Amino acid sequence: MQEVLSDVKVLDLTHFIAGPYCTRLLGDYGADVIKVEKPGVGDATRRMGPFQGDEANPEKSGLFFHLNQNKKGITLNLKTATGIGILKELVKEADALVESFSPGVMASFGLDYPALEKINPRLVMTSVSSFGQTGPYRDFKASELTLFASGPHMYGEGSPGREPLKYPGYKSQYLAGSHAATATLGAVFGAKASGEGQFVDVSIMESLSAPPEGAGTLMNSAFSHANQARVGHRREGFYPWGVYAVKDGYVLIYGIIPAFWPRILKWMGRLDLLEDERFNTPFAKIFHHADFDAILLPWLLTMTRTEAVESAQAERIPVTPVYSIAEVVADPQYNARGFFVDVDHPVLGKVRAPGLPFKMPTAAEKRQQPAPLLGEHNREVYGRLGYNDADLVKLRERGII
Amino acid sequence: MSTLPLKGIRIIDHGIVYTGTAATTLLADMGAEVIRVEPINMLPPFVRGMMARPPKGIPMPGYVDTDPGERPWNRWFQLHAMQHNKYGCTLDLSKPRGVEIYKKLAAISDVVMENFAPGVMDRLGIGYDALKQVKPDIIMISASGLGAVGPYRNYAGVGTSISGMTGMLALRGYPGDDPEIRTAIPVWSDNVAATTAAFAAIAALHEKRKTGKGQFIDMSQAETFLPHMGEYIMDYTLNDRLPQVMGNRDATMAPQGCYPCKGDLPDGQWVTITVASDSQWQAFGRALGNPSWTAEQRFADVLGRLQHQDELDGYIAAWTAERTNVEVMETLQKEGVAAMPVMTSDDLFANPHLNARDFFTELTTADSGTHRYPGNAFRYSKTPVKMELPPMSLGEHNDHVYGKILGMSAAEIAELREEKLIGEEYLPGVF
Repeated sequence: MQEVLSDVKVLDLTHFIAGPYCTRLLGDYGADVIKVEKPGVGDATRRMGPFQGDEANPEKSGLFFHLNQNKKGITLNLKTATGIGILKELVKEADALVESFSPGVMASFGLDYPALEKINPRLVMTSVSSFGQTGPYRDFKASELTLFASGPHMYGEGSPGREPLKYPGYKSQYLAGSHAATATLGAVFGAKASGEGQFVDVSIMESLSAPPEGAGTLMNSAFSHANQARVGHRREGFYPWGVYAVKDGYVLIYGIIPAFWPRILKWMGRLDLLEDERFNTPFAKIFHHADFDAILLPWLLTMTRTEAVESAQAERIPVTPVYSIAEVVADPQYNARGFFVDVDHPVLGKVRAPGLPFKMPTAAEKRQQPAPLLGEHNREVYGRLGYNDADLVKLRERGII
Repeated sequence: MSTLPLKGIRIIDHGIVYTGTAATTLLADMGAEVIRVEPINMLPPFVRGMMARPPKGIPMPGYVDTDPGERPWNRWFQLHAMQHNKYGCTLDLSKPRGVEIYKKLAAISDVVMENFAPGVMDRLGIGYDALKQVKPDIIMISASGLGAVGPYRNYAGVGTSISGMTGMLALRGYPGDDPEIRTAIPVWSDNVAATTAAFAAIAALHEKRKTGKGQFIDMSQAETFLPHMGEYIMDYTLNDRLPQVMGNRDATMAPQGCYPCKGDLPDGQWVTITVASDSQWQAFGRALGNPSWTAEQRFADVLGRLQHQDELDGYIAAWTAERTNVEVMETLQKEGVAAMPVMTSDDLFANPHLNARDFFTELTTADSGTHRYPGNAFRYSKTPVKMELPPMSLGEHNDHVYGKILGMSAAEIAELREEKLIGEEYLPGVF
């Protein structure tokens, strides 16, 4: 982690993926992030795989580990007046509070923005939710699939003639988390200068339709008077663009820019095809792509992936490997740049994990902190508020922590 | 009215395609004064069209009403997707005088944002080392595909290339599909790289406030996106296991899928449904009026539903096919079950939820007319984002940037136009 945001204190009431990813990004750059979890139970992702050794232990979730590095962890029962009182003490010193409960829950705790603003006028409060804090869908249930469907991407993904397809994993959640981090940091930057915080409403649905990709799809449809269409993976009309088999795997060829066409023919050793009226211009080849595929596909199968990529890159053609996850972790570029981190965790042992999305050369680097055990920093954080061990025992017995 | 967080910050925008372009728009939305510097001696990729002067007389999707018009570079969809709230000037940076003028602008700016291939800015003479000479505390963010250092730094690639090199491409598709089979390639990483580049700029500004120092940040678009593949990477590093292609299904929740609905569109109308628990399964049955199949023992618990998913999906599809996707959504959400139509662009522009939240803003430009423009992922309560400047025409703010900001006289600016260093059209011969 890096020290840039060491003067930023974040109270993290988030759970699941979008909210915790937001606060992880702040923690990555040195913010003092205190993750508040329900006593005994903790964040829902503690119960989600992948588990180390497939053992469903709340301290062994790889997903929880990934999302919650660089944070301290405390437990606190927000359904009690004592718990709310303790949270309000923590709010006094915070620069930001991030939460991802269903809209209305924070208000039911007496912890909505108007209440918190009175305690700490410079507080930035960020709420991450599926559909935002207002509007007819506000209280709708959601999953990653239904959220992805609420954006402009899904209708155009998949094969012609088949059902639309979501992207792998939790792309909507992670994207909203990234946006929430940028939005929170921007508001904190402003609050540090003005002394005045504000409320930040992040909607996963809206992040999907925002610039660049979502807004791009929307404006393309509006201008072209046509909805997005499932066009297949080789994007006829843009050629060549797609996944192509080589001898020992697959490559991604992006050759649609008109200036690339002569380079592609040179790469293939087929400059003679410039005499063929089917292929002699970048426009002509679009209309004869099936004929060209009959030449291109068998030729690609004669090469390994490395041969195909290196020879094409030598001609400045964007041909790149299609990696498995194993190849991602082994990739020379990511490793040369030190992207992955090795972290020691008390239960998982030594873990290799994704590191920071970018590095800042002027910021001092500190050891990447593992995700916290449930309640691991109760003593440290509550100690700072003046609670001693005897107090903590009482609070635990009463189910407050 | 409170002050926007980045008011008083000046940013130079060299963004091409999506990453740098959208990052600086986010910063503009937060109040920064963003000056987009564009060439007229070449057409940068995917900003104002695939060609400077496309053929006339045939429909060209992507342009307003598929008509490139007299000034096609102002009518292209990607410009309109994300270029609001910025000042746009032009400048020929291939000429020494262009570089000289640029440095005057850099000398009074806080941040320079670019996402060219590594080395481009240095070759133009305006890389970090050069700009530090005129502004020692300048912040420069370079967001190339794979980063400015490393064995693959010179790989030619774009967003879909990154989808392949981050493992996402191998995982998209229907279960059982051949990777070569006809599912579209995800173009997604730009979304993440853009918001991360904006985050980096704010973090660097925060750092500069404390230390007085600027910096050069070498960002890899691929690395900004890799954490979004986190759980897959963890399963591999913890368990040596590779992920499966799941399509629209989930490993632990059933039913989950995308089902056909009543409707006229050529590509169909669809709804997505997730039943996340046993209690939601009971609610689902109630919502459907308790047809007998919802009471079958084999579907009563989650393991049974996962095991018999194909049959379950068949029953559900028969039910959804008789309804519109909006009807399905309303029926199921009323009982607390997640359901959402797969939205077309038409659906989104008309969507009652987005419109109740004023997600779209109507803006008018001289060359493109009036359209509704999408908003952001976030809203600020005290310093709300307003779309004040519509997407700029090429060189629209030349007089403002060179006259007002740089203090040049009208005569000097006229000379720049005569020398074709600045202008409002691409030079003849630009393809």
